[in-house]
Amino acid sequence: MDELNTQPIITIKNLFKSYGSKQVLKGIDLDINAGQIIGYIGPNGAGKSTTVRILAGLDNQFKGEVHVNGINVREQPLAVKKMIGYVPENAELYEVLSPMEFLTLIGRLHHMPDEQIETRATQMLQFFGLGEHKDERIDTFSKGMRQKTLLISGLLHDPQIIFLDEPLSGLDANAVIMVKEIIDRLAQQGKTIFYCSHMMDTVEKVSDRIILIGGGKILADGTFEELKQKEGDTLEQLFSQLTGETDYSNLADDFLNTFKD
Amino acid sequence: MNRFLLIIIKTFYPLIRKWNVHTDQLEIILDAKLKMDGRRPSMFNQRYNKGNAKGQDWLSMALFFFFGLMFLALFAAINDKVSAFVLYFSGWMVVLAMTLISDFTEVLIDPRDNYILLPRPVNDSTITVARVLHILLYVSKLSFAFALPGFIFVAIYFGIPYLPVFVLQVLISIVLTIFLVNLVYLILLRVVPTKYFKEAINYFQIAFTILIFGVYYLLPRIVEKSVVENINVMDTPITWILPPVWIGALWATLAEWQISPKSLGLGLLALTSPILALYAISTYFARDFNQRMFSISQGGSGNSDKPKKVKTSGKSALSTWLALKLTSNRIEKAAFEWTWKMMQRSRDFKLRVYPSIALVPFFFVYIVLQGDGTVAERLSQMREGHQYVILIYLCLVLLTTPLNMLSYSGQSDAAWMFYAHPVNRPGTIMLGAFKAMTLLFFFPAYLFMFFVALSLWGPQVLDDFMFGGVNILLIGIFVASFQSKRLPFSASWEIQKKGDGFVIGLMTMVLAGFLGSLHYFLLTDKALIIIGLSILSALLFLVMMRNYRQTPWSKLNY
Repeated sequence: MDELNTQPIITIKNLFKSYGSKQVLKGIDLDINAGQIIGYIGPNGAGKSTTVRILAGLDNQFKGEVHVNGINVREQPLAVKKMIGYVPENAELYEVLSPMEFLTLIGRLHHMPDEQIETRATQMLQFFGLGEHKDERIDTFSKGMRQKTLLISGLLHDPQIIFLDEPLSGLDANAVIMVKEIIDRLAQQGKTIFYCSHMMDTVEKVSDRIILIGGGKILADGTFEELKQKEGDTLEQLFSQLTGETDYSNLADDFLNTFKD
Repeated sequence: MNRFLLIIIKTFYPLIRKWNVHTDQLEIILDAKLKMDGRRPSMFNQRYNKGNAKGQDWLSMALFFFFGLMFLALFAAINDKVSAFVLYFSGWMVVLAMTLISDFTEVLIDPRDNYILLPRPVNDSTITVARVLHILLYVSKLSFAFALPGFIFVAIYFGIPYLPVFVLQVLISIVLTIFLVNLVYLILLRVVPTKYFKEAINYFQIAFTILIFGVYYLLPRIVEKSVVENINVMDTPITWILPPVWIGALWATLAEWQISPKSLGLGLLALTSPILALYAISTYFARDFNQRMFSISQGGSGNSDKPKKVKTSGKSALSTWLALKLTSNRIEKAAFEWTWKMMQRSRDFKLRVYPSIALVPFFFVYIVLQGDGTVAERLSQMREGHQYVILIYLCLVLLTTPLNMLSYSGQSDAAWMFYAHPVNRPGTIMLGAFKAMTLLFFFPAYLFMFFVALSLWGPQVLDDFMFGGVNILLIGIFVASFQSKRLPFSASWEIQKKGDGFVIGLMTMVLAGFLGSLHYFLLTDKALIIIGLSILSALLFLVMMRNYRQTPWSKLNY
């Protein structure tokens, strides 16, 4: 395990990304070791999802060098996609399919044998309480049930590296606990988890290392304990100190003053 | 326009307030709903640009004005003016009913009302009256546009004193149409589980569209011109059950003073039926209507219907078996099965494809009936002249229509999964989809047409259908290879509207024209050459399929 932890599995050097004239990432440098759970946080529009899309081989219009497990993402996106699991934020699903059909499709895209897909998908759906609904169309599902299906699709092929972009969105408390436990166990197996979220408390609890980005740059990087020593007691305090407004108390007062007209 | 309508509504405020309606809120809600109408595409205007769509209501009105103008041609074609009125109002009621069913399914089942209005301090009466007035205003706008040419025509042709009768006819037709649409809704609500109500409405629309097109193309062929000129609808007792006949009878009684038990009776029906209809709507139909509509807008969760299970028992499914036999690798197989399911289940895809496909049999009959002589004589002529070859190439629609729609979906954002997972060549997925589409749409219908042709013209059609079939497949794969390459169900319908449809359509026509002409003019009597060329076409088709499978990501439009 120690040996795993010292090998960088993700390397980002001088990563720049623009959408038109708007520069989203302004020189990100990162080394991530295998078996780590990385909490990747930042305000809205900071470039979290963009970073993940680049790492997942979905976007090759960037400047800089990005390697996943030693593979150049720009040159061999397909090789990267084979070894990763990706759960995008607010992803659409083809709703006329059942979760079983959707997962079968995903499994086949990863060249998994049909028997393995069926066994694994059935078990995973069962774990998330969707066993009874495995043959129902997704258009009858709640937001949480869809999110569970999406999560399973990212894990089905047992990937080495997992990119989770707001994975807990819409999940109930029990499912959140379960996902946290799963993340923990996956990391224990030596898998690398790259976890993007706005939910500070979850990031704080699950991450080995927290990376805070803002304005397209890395503002803080370290374990929660290290960051706490530097900036504040909680991740929320650190977040607000480094990414913008700090005096939310006055802001709240100002907001309430708008009623006095 | 909207402002003007709201001012008219304002004059009724003293009355409306008596129903416990807050008129200030009512005005705000109506104003917002009318604004939204102007930005919502109607069933007659699918070329709609999100974001900058304005004046859609004016466009709908212009279309209805055009319909009103077109239907006036009936008065020139038919000698009996009462019959002309009957057909004029039949057309009008059908168009209005179609619009109401199409547009108001969206308006009536608007979940935004539940999210936006229900949590606000707006009472039930205000919401209900706002809904009713909204429909009334919408219908009034369309009716005004439709009736305006008729109004001018009646004033000029019959004289201004006849105008009140015409206005009365228009009003009765509106009330009766709303009643009939209500009846359709009610029957569907009773028969169809709440969950599938929207789907049922869509199938109803599809069936209706096919019927209208069928009647449009076939009726003029079946009925001779002299019959149309001298038609007298009211002379046929079976027609007396139709509301437009009652409305026509009103003209006979009040304008032409035809005093007979028949015209008086039917005219009286025209006058009393709207009152009965309004009574039925307010008492019987309105009962639990709102509650059911609310349930539908909530996705049917208020209903005890069990969620629909899909057949996933795998190996026994036809699509799985076909995929196994007809695909060459696992990704292609997965794409085949997925596309098959998507085509079978996607409502938006079916709505766009089914009507065009269902028109093929109508065209088949149309072509058979075209020309002189009896049906038996025509069939004999077609056999001797090998004219059935034209029917073979007509089947190209069975392939090109779904092909043109295959890349598009209302859920196109879900295509992220193909980009996020390790797919070496998208061509594999595209070919799997092409095969599924061909098997699901083209083959069964083409086989059906073949057996019909075989029974009508005998075994001589065999080689022609073989050659024609292979040629159609060849044209299909050619079009697939040269049109904008996209993964199945990966682009929005908006993109489809701006797409390369014209160029592809032209290309298809040129190819079909070339191969069809070659077949019809040079080869119909040369069975051996046809068989040889069929093999050649089939080989070319296979080569093009292989080439299509190799499509790389770099050639993809995404």
